[in-house]
Amino acid sequence: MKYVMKRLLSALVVVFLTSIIVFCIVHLIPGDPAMVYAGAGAKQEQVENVRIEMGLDKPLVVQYINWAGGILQGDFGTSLATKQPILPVLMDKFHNTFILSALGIVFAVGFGLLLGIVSALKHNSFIDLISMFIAIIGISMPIFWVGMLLVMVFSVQMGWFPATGNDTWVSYILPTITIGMNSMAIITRMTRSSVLEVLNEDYMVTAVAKGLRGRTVILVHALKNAMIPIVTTIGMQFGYLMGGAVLTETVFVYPGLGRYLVDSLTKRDYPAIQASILLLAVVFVVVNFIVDSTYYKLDPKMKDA
Amino acid sequence: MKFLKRLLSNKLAVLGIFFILIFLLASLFAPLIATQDYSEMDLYNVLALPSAEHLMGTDEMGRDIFSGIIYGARTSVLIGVSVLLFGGLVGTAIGILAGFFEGKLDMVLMRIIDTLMAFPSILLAMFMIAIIGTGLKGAIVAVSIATVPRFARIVRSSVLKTKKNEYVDACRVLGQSNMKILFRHILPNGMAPIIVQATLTFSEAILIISGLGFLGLGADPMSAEWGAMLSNARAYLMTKPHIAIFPGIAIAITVLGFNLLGDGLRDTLDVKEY
Repeated sequence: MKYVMKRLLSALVVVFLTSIIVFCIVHLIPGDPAMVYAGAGAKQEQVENVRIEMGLDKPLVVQYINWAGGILQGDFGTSLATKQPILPVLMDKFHNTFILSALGIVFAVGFGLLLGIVSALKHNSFIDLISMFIAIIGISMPIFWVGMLLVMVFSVQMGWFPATGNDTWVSYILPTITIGMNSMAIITRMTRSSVLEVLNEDYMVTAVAKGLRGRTVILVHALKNAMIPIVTTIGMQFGYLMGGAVLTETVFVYPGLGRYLVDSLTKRDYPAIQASILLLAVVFVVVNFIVDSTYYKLDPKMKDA
Repeated sequence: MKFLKRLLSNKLAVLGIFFILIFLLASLFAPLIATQDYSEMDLYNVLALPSAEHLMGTDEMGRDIFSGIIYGARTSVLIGVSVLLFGGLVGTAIGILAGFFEGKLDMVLMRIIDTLMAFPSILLAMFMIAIIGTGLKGAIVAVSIATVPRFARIVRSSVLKTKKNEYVDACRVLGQSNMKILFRHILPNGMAPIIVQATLTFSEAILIISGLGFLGLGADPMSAEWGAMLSNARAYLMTKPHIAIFPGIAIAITVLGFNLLGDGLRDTLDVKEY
């Protein structure tokens, strides 16, 4: 429990530090923040009004407290592009990205574990070769290109799935494969190497010698012990997946948080940039925290840590 | 020599070296290989299918895709080398400081590095782009910064491990300076994981920068950069898919080459993953 509390504390520190850095974005870009908020071509008078209205004339610490306080109360500010409050849009986009990432991780974990375990058990066989080939290709292909290829083959040529949008469940299939491809490849490699390592341990030899049946040995002994590095990898992948969401969402014109961040970056809509980066960062921290806690549960050696 | 022999006996690593050679030769001799200047537009001949004149067809502005890919290799070398120089050097410096001197400095540096490591590189890069602004230079700086944490971590653990060797104690007893011990003994002996990481960083840099180019946050859409070329191609997926195929193959093969070499080096140098 002490370990979990420690992780929680350090997660909170990370969130705090991230919020400071994200707050600083507007002050780090060249130029006057008030001018940025007032928008291009604003008159001097308007800029001054914005400065007072947004409290940009106050000391930085006060500005930070006001900004962070607002966010804690659910006020992410107003978008410069749409002049609308950011929160509702942000939540909507986040919801979409979350669904896509969750589907992606289910796909990646499912196929990654399957391919990894099979290729470890059939070490150096044809199946092993094929899955390792899929894995290295999956790591090397740019995920946006994977998406484009899938669209070309399955939407344009075959006409099986829609190329864009998120209206029906069918339209989720291609984006799910795209977003999960890279993680699937990494999980496959990780699973294969950790299962291989466990298979060579003495207790596995003992288990087989004891006359335990093949399947029991694999499920009970091998997987349980191989699980720790695998869970760590999966947790890390979930974070990375949400990063990769940016590219997938662009290919499939999917209304998610990543696409929103890119649009905000191109429009230089700073409050929206800050809000989406902060939200993404908090999600990573939360996921990491959950992974660390699970890790603790899985590995008895961690009890003393 | 023994090392080289072992590396060359790894078939996948050899395949990787082969891809990397193609990539390096293409970038070195780009003006000789390319059939024309990529910026040359031919508006009467847009979106043409591959032919003898245009080996990979033309894009929506009538530019020769084959030439774009060849010149794109140059851009990618520039990207990989700059990211390695900036990110690798800064990361190595931080790793050395933390690993060699340990103590409070180590604790503070590693806290920061761990915080940065929690975020995927593409997000860190986008965060930097929010400050620096879009464009190829901004993207290179952004990705360089994003690669610092992993380098720092790997160099640190390598230094920590190498430092424990008895020959290092011997040097101390002989009264050698910290600098000499570090650069003459610790770094050369702890080089293996750093080399593996450098190889993988090269491919990651190309992958992320092409991603940023695809999103319109990296290289100028008019320039010969593979990601930017794919970004333009997105609008023609339905009608002219060929313009999206070749730049993607170029990225995949180059990245695959470095990944295969990195895997091969990892096995040959017997580096455990960190």
